[in-house]
Amino acid sequence: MRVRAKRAESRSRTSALALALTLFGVGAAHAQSAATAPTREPRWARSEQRERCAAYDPLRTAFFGDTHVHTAYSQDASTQGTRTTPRDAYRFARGHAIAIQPWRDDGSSLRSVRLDRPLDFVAVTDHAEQIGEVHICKTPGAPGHDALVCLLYRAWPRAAFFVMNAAYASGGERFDFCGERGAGCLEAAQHVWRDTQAAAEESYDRSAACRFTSFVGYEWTSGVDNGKNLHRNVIFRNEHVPKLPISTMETGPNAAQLWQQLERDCTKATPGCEVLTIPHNSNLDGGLMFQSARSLGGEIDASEARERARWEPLLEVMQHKGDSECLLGGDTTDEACGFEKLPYDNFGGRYLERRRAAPQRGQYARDALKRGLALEAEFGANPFRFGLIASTDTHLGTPGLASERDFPGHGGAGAADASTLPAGLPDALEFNPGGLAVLWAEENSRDALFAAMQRREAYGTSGTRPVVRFFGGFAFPEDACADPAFVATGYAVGVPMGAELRADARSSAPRFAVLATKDPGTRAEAGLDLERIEIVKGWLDVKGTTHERVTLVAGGATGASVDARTCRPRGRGHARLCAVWEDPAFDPREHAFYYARVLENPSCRWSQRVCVAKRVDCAKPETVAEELSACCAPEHRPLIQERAWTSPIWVSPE
Amino acid sequence: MKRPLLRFLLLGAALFALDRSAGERLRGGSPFPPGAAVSDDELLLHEAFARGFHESDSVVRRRLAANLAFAEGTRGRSEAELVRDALALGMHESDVVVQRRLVQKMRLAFAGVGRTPEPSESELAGYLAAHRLRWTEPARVRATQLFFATREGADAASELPERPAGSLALGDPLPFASQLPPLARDELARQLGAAFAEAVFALRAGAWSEPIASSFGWHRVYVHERSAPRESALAVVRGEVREALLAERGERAVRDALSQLRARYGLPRAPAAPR
Repeated sequence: MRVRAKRAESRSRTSALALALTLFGVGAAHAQSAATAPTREPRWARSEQRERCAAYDPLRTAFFGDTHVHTAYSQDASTQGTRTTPRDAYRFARGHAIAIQPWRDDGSSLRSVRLDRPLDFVAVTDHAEQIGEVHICKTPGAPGHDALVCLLYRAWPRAAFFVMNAAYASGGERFDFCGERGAGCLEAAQHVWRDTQAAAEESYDRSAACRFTSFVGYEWTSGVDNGKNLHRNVIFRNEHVPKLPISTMETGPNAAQLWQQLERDCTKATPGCEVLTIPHNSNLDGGLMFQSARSLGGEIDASEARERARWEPLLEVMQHKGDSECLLGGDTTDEACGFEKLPYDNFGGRYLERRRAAPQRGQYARDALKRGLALEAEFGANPFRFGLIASTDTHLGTPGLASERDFPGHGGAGAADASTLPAGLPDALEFNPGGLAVLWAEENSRDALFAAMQRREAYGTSGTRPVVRFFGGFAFPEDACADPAFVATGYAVGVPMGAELRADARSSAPRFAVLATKDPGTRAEAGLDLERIEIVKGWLDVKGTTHERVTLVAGGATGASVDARTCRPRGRGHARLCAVWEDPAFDPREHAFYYARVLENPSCRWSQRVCVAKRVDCAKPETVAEELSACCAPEHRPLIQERAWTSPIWVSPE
Repeated sequence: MKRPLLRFLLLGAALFALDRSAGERLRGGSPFPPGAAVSDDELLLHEAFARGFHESDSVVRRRLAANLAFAEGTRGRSEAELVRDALALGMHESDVVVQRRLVQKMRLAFAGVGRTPEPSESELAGYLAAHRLRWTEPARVRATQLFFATREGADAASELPERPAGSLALGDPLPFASQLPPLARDELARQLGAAFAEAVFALRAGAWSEPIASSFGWHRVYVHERSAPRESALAVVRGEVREALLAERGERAVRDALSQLRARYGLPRAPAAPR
């Protein structure tokens, strides 16, 4: 082989060396974390019986998925008219059309939905709380089916939603119809749990084609004070799972109890069982999520810091109920934080004016990442060393339905049973279609994807599909963006997103290399161009004070925009952006984290698309029907900037 | 006399029912004229009535009660009384929603939903063998692609290795590898765009392509090999095969039941559905 330019020749040698070092697991940088470097054979053990994937890439592939999906087995979804089962949800994720509410009297539906691009992986995560109760209320002849609560559930489901939640939130006692010690409801829950596992198994592609991976999972739904969400999604590595999902009925509100019982029932009692938990909606936690998980509002100590870091490698940073990345205020002057914010700090605020309180920065991921640095300096363990993903939290059983286009809402949109579609917006104005989880893995199998979650080699998007690589290292070449072997070099001389660099007193400033390509889109709709890449740094100075800074590293204002009256884009952005950035303010004595944020050109939000389709012109009151008044409400944000957030890379002093 | 209209209607309905019943007996048990063109849905509806589904189905009962309450007001009647009076008026025979519901319910009853025996391994294997096309892995292409941010760069890349092996240090970087694993057309489209995937699947193996546009820029592509569509093993598609087999059995059970009804009533095959 001959290459034309000398520079290319030398680059070729560097790249080949990088690739060789990488594939044989030899990290060139002293700070390389061996656990993150790719190898020809995976570092993770194969824990299940399956064919090997034909497509195995040691330099890893981006797999798109959703780890937060509710179906008719969840009480809140079923009382919104959702009839989708876990089987339907997995079928939907694989590209099949499914029917959704509203339903006619004869059982046919008024709407159906289909993904324009199938997903690679999904975890159905129905609420563990009340799955047995819901099953009994829906099953004629089941003991308890004729109980008053079940009659209410069937006759007036929206009222039952509040009644059933309120009853369980108040005392932790099961309904009388559950029988002695709740045995009837637990038995029903076991039936539902087995069916959830069967649906995951039937959907999982164990052939060499590896087209789709399902995970057995559920949601542990801790809500304090009627709406301060401490929710976690529980994701199992493979088919080895406990006999029942552990719910807040067994644990109480603190996540540490969940971890203890998972340790008892999964890790210790069920051979082959491995599990992790993913917190979400810290934006609705009322200030509790990033405090102690052992006692509400308590302080975190060293042992909890270690425990939490072990159980929670990821945080769901964005979903249907808003963004949890950052909040403007204090030293956060980052304008891009003004993205999909809910106007209340707990879910009770959605329904009751008196429960409304303004969100606080301490509820957001960036603040927690910074506090984690301080706790690490104190305890030697960082409880908030989490990577970032996003998901939908769909309550229609429609994983990955995250497009702003034709968004049907994620709940019943107020019309579970109706003969016509709702005339107004299909969801509450402050909600959104949600996001996607992206995992960098060698192949599309449960073992490979679970290992990616554990090492935090993951990122989240607000629903679109840009592909993003992010590496950090002390010996990163300045010209990496001209290196065709960018990825191999990244692994060889640095660490990927989610990993850690160790700095000693002699360490030079770290460099971060980020490369992103736009969402390629589909035949029906082109993907949006990229606008810019920023690197967000948070650090703890030697005096113990935390700081943050956002640096533009690639792209910038392109002049591209969108006509809000037609939703047509104007101007161009970038198909691809790349940057190598060296931190000019690096101090090897400081604890720091760095993550990349990739912003696309502005586009119309889902709500504005509906308003435009319905020909609403806020300057002409006669065009604003009452049910569409939200289109012209002061809080309506017609435009958004879709984005991706990578997991951070942490730099810690030796 | 209280509610004379209702009594009149009730009496009329009773006479009508008596007349139909007598007619059926006179025609040898068939409610339809011999050789009549009766659709499947009409047959299913008749069977649902004969089995009393209109009296027992909760959705139908709610609908009938609501219809009568709308027409006459409840007049202090309970839901059960409203249903009784609506049935007596024959409202179940004229309401389209009730009819749709009963047809659907009858289909489910004939299909034996929830009562179908579990298929054996050999039945599953036989079903898979008979439906190979449905569970065939799609054609795949294994290729190497070199990316160039500009068309000029792609045009200028003239000295390409005859047979690329391993990672190539040419072109501009992308976040994924230059060596693509074996990908189906839709998988390639998700990564590099639909037009690019179409172009790559049209390439012949063993040669470098001319520059091909993608969503990100330009590519020179070398196709190493194509795999033909491949049948899936039962072990890996068992769930889907089982689901399809049970669905097909249910449909067959409905067809058989309808054939028996047609034979019983001396009816020809169902008229073809309008195109």
